[in-house]
Amino acid sequence: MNAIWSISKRELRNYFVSPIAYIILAVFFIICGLFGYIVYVAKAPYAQLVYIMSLMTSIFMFLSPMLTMRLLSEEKKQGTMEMLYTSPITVAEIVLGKYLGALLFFGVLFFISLEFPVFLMIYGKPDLPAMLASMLGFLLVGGTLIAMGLFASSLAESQIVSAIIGFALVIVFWIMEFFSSAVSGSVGNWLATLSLSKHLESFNKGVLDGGDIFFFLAMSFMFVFLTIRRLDWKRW
Amino acid sequence: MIKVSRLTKYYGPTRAVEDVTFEAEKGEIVGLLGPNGAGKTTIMRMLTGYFAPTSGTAKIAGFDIIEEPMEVKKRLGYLPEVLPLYYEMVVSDYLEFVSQIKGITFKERRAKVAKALGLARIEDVKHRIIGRLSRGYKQRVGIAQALLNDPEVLILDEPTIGLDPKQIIEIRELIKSLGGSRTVLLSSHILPEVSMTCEKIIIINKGRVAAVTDKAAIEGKDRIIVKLLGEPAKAAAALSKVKSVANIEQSLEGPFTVLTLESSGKEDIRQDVFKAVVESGLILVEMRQASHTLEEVFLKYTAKEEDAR
Repeated sequence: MNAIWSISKRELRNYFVSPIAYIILAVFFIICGLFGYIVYVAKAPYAQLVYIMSLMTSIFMFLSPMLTMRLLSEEKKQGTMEMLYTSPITVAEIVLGKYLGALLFFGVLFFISLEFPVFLMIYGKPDLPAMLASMLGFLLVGGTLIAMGLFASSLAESQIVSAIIGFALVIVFWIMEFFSSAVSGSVGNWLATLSLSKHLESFNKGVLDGGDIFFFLAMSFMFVFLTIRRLDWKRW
Repeated sequence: MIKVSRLTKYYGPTRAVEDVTFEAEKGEIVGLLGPNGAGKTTIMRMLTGYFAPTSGTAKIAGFDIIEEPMEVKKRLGYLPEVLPLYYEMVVSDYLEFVSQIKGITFKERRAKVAKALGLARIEDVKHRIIGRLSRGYKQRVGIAQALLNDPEVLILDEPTIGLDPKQIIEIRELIKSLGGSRTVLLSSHILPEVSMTCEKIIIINKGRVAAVTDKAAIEGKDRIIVKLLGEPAKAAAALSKVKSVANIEQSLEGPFTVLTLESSGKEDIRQDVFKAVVESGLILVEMRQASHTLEEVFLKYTAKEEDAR
C-alpha cells in the first residue's frame, strides 16, 4: 500500500518536472477558456455547465494518450522497470501506483476546471443537479481514458507508439456505436453497449444512471487489470 | 547463501541458459565470467526475480526464488547492467523513493539512505540531479540503490562497464569492501576484472557453466615469462632443470629469447629460475608472472569439457 502511494507521488511530481504537465494544462484551459468565454459571456449566456463539460471531455480524450504514454513505456526504456520488478512489491502495486499517479494529475486538472461551475454559480442560476451530474461524468470518463492509456503504455517501449495505440483505443471505444452498426444481430448490440459516448449521454442530460456509473468503473477496472496481466505475462 | 540448481531459461525456442548449477557461501565474492551473450545477465535476472526460469530453481538466503520471491527480494540488492535511475530526480530523493519501494519504514529511512550514501561515497553529490552526474557517479548511485535495504546478497551486473580506468579501480575497491558480511555475485566479460575482485570464478559459456575455478588458477601464478640474452636451445636446457617446470615454450623477440615456463607445483620458482639463468652464463633481462587471457582460459576449460564427453 505504501509502495503504491510512493509510486503515484513520484509520478505526479514527474509530470510537473517535465514540460508535459504544463503543456497539457495550458492547451486544455486555453481551448476551454475560449469556448467558455464565447458560450457563457460573448453569446447569449446559457447558464448550463454541460456545454463546457462535453467540450472538456472531448479535449481530454485527445490529450489523455499524451498524459499516459510514458507511464510504463518510460520505465521500460530507461531500465527502471528492472528495479521495480526486483523490489519486494507486486506488479499490481506498480500498476496501481502508476494509475493513481495519472489520476492525481487528472485531479489537478479537474480542480482547476472548477472555475467554470464557480463562474456559473456566481453569475447565473445553473441547474445544480445537472451540473454535478455532468461533472461526475467527466471524472468517470477521465478515469476510463487514463486506464486505457495505461494499458497502451504497457504494450510498447516507445512513448510515441504507446500514444498512438492509446489514441486508437480511445477513438475505437468512443465511437463504438458507429462501428457496431456495421455488425448485425446481438454482437452488434453488445458492441454498441461498449461505446463511451453513449454512456456519457445520461450524465450530460443531468441524470444519474447506476448502470452508466458502473460501466465506467468496470471499464477502468478492466483496463487496469489487463495491464497487470500483460506485465505479469511478459515475465514468463 | 546462493544456491543455484539446474537453472534453465529458453526465450521461445532459443536457449539462453541451460542447466546452470553453482553455489556461493556467505561472505564470498563470486564472479560470473563469460563473453557477451553467454547468459550472465539472464542468470542474474532469474535470481533477482525479474523473470521466471523455464525450469530449475535457486535459493537465496534460504528462500526459493519461485516459491517465496518476496522474501528473496527483501534480502537482495541488485544493480542491473542498465542503471535503473530516474535521471530527472535528485540523488537523495531518488534513494528516498527506492527505500519506500523496498519497504523500508519511515523511521529507518533517513539512516539507511545516509548509510548507502556513505558506502557508495556519494554524499557530496546527494543534492544534484542524477542526469547531470558523470558516468562514474551514476554507477555509484546505482550501487547505493542496491545497498539501501542492507542486503545479505548483492548482485551486480557488469558493475564497471563504461567507466574510465580510475573509476574502475574505485568501484573495484568499493566492491571488495562490500564483501565480508555480504555475499556478492558480479558478472563481467573482462578477465582481470573478475580475477581482481572475486575469490571464486564461474565461467559461463553459451549458457552453460564451463568451469568453476578460483582466482589463482586464472591469474596464472604458475606461468613465468623469462626474457634473456643467449642461445634459445641452451637457455631451454638450463631452465628445464629447474624443479617443477613442466612445460617450456620458446620464441624469439629481436635479439632476445623469450621462454614461457609453466610450473606444475604451487611454490614460487622465480628464485630457482634466476639462479639457473645465472649459473648457465646467460643474461636475464626480464622475468614476470603472466596471467592467462580470457581466450586461453576459455580454451582450457572448454577443451576439458569436450574431452569429458
